[in-house]
Amino acid sequence: MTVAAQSSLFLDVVVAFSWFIIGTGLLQNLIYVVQLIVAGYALAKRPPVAASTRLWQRTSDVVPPISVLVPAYNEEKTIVPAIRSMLSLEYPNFEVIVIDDGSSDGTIAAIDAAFELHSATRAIDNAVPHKPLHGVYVSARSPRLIVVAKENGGKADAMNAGINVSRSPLFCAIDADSLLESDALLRAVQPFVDDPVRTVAVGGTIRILNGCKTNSGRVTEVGLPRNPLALFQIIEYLRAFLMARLSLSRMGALTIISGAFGLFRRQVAVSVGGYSPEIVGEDLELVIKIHRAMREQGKDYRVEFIPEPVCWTEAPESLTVLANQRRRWQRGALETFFKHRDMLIDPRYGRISWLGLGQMMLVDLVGPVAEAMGYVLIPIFYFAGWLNFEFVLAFMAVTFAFGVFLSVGSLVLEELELRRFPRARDLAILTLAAIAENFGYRQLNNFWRLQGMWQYFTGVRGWGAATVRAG
Amino acid sequence: MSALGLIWTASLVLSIWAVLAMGLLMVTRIVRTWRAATRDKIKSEMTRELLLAADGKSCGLTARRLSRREQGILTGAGIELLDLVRGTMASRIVQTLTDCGINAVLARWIRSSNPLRRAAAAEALAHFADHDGLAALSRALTDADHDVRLAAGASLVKLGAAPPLGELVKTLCAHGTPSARLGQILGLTFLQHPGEVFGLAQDTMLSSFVRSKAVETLAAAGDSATLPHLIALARDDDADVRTAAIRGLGRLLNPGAGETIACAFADPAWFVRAAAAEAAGRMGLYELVPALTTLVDDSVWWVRFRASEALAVLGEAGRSALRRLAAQHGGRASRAAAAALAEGAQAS
Repeated sequence: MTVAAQSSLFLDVVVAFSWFIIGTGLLQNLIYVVQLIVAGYALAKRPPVAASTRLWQRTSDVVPPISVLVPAYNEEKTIVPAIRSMLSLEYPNFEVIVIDDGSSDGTIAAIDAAFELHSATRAIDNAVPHKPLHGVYVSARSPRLIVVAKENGGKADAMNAGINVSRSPLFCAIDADSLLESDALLRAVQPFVDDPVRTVAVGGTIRILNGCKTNSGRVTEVGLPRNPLALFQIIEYLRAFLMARLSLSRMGALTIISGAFGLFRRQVAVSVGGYSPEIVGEDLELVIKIHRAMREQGKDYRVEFIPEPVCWTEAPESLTVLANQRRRWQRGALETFFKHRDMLIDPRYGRISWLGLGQMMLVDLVGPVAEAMGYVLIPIFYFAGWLNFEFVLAFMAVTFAFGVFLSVGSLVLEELELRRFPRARDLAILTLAAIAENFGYRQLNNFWRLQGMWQYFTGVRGWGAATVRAG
Repeated sequence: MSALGLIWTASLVLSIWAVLAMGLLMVTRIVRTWRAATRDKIKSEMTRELLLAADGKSCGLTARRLSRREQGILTGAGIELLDLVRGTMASRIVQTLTDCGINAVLARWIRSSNPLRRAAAAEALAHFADHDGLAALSRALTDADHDVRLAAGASLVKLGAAPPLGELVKTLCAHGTPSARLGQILGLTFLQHPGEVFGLAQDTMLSSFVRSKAVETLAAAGDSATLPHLIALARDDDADVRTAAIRGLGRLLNPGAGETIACAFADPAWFVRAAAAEAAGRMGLYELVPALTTLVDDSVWWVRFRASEALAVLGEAGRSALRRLAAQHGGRASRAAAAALAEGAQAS
């Protein structure tokens, strides 16, 4: 091959890479714009939400019993207020099942001190597999509380134990370090009341607790954190829940219900084998399994996201913890995607395949790689003289402007429909955060996702050897 | 425009939109907060006036002409109060609100574009409906929002002005699968026209869900006159209907249903067998202890659980049967029996 031919081939490769980066970015942005529009439409079309007192009057006599499943691993410091918060939920018929997943700290002792536990025997339906139970305890102070002690097996395994111990037709999955708003169950159960035959799973909104004031396990004043990482995560969560999940739910392709707060029909979860302990993104994988089973059986069903029921959760404020979380999420997404990759091209699965899994492929698999290639290759191509400086600058400007547009779009949806942030000043701060997150945080996040991909492809599995967490 | 110009323009448009949108929303928020505070103050004053009226004292609400906004706030406050009070107090509040022209407000609300407001109006019209109100409620039965439809249906039933139940249910279910709140309307109808609910339970053209709800309504009435109907429905072709009927028989506690319950132990649907076992325990059907003992070895956990749970409450005969089963170590029946004995001991 001549030098000229080699040079031409090299330029072709440069152009191909450039188009891959631009094309992936454009496609991703197109998806986000569609999501924003659909989410806006969904919020505008859905009826305004009744006050919880009216919901109680209308539906308290027809809502089904719920078992609230709380997997806990080394939650000694937070478990008691969390249980108190759950026991004070405004719902007519529920039980709280705390599953201590072999904690090495004093989780069980803390619960015992606060709620006076007694060993009990309970008939257990071994419907889904899990590690052996050490014991079941009931509380002398609250008949709604049941505590299960078991061998450590991870969050999914603990959830499976909870499913077996529960006897209600619905179960609610919640993290031990999260706080449910007092009317969250009553709101989340509404799709099961409105459409009891078809509804199989419902997800609610997760919001960031950092910066809020709490008292006795209740959020008493919504506020913003001072820590910029937590502030950026507020914007991320608004985008994820109000934009992505709401729109996917509206399009009938919701593939994830957060493990921190989701309501499931027990029988359906059991029929798909419960949570998969070998998958780190067990919440995502359970929903995909439900879609798969329902579609294969040709059933008419609903998996829905509704924004009003709120679960508050503490966001990581340190780079190390956040990085671990994001790497784990990325691995979870990839584990689920590759486990169910056959659904991607199978028309039996309808929108779940081309839209749900298609989006996962673009956002979780191709997107991080393309974005990283953009950050690395475009400056190289520019310095090598293969790219026009003005185009590089314009392309970066539109990329960042688009990021700000999407984040502000989510804030607009939040403000038009939900208005959870009490002060106008909060909106100003969040707008600034929506701009600032594009410079540094977004790139860092992408880096962690790439690390997560690397871990996945190099065989790292589970929650990590040191911390097999349940909560 | 060149491609470069287009990209820069797009960036600028997106950025300006973001800044303007948030600026506008912040201003809107400030105005909205101020208006909400004013509204809350007026509402609190009006609630105080309505409570005076409820106590039979004179209130200033009827003495002056209310603005359209005040009428709306008064309607909201009145509806909230009517949810809390009954009897003479409620009648006085209704009278005061009528004198203040609430009917006109409700007539506007039920045509509103806001479904929350339409549902509130449909619920409130149960207290205030005149001729126009009844017509508005009838129209609301086909509203696009299910809350409005259900509220209109319930109000019409309360006012004794609902169409025949079969027709009402078909109208309410015309938009898709029915809500669990349908049972509330059936319960209200049963108080006036029990035969219509029975007719619904028997109508095999209706969905399992609707028929089951009708059966549950029959059972919830607690009237022994429904016994033959429930016994007949316990042999229905639809397993969901059979389950509801068996559960209903369990609630009636009438020993005349014993044979039907015993037959249901052999039902092909596991949830019917589980419901029958549960009913046998609730009804205290001691003669079914041997059959329940067999059911403790059912292939489905829920049936084993309900059967052993029933045996645990069926006196010494039931507990002896459980002890015998528990002594046969190893099998699923033995485990179910042991767990039921332990749970029974804890409960006592």
